[in-house]
Amino acid sequence: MALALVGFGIRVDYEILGPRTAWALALTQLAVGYLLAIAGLRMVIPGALLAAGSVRLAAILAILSHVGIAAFTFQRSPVPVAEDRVWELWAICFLITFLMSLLPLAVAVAFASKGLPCNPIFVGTLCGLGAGLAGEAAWRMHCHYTSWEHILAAHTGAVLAAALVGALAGFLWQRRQIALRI
Amino acid sequence: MVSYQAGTLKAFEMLYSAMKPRLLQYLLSLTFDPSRAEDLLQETFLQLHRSRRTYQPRRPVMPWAFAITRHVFLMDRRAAKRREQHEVDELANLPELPIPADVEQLADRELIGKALSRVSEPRREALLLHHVWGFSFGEIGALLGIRKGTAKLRAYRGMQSLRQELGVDRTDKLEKAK
Repeated sequence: MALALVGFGIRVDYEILGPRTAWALALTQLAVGYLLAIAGLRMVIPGALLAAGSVRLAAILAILSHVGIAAFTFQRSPVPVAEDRVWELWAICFLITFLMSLLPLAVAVAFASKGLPCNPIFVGTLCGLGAGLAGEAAWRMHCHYTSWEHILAAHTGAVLAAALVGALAGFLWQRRQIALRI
Repeated sequence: MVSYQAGTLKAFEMLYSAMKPRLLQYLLSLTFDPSRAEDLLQETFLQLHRSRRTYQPRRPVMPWAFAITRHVFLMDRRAAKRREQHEVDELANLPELPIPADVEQLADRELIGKALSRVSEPRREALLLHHVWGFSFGEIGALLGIRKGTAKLRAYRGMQSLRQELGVDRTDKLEKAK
C-alpha cells in the first residue's frame, strides 16, 4: 500500500470519497485479504485444520465484500473510464494489481511450503485470493475509476488471476511431492 | 515431544515406540495393505521429523502425528493413481483391523473386520478415530478439515453402518437388553 501511495500518489477523488471512508474501505479489504491468507496457512498445520466448508464460505464472503466495497465506492464517487482509454486502463490496473499481489503471495507460499497441506491446490487458491485482495486494496488507494466494467474486468480480474497463480503453485508443490514418491 | 523438537535422540526413540503401534493401525485401516502400511509408517516418521517445528507444544501430540500420517497416505494415494497401480483387493487381503470396543462382543474379530472394511472410508475413519483411538470430535474435525458436528455425524453413521453390516440393529440390542 505504501508502495502504491509513494509511487503513484493518492486517488484524485480522495476528498469526494472522504479520507476516512477511503482508508476504511481499503483497510477493511486489506484485513479480509490477510485473514483469508492466514486461514490458508492454518490449513498446512497438521492436526489444526479449519473446516473446509467454512473456509470456502469465508472465501465467497471475501469476494462479495470486495464487490460490496466497489459498489459503495461507485455510489459515492462514480468515475467512468473514457471510451478511448478502456483497454489502456484495463491493462495498467490489471497488471499493477496483479504485480502487487505477487509479494504477499510469495510470502504466503513460502510459509505454506514449510507445512504439510493435505489439499495444496485449495491452500494455494486461498493464499492467492487473500494476496490478490490485499494487492487490490493497495491499488484502490490510487485508482479512482469506479465504473463496474473497469472494476470487475481489471481489479477483480487481477484478484482472480492471483488466486489462479496460488492454485498453480499448490498444484506444482503437490506434483513435486508425488514425483518424489514415484 | 518438546525435547524431541530440541533435537534429543532419546526423545525420538521414546516417541517412536509410543506412536508406532497406533500409527501403524491407522495406516492399516486406510490402506488395507500391511506392507504398504509399513512403508508409509517409515515415510510418516521421516515427515514427522521434517515437520517437527509445526508442532505446537500447547496442543496434544497424537492428533498432530495422525494428521501427518494422513498427509503421507493421501500423497501416496495420489502418487499411486499417477503410477496407475490398482488398489489391493480389500476383502481378499484384509489385514487385522483395529476393532471398536463397543462392537467387540457382537461378533468375532474377523467378521467385524470384514464388516468394517465395507463401511465407507470417511465414516470408517471418523468411527475408528473416535472409538478406537479416543480422539474428541473437535480433534477429528481439526485432523480431517471438517466441522465438529460433521465428525460426530460421520462417526455415528459409521457405527450405524457397521451394525447394519453385522446384522445388528437397534431392536436386537433392545431385546438383548431385556
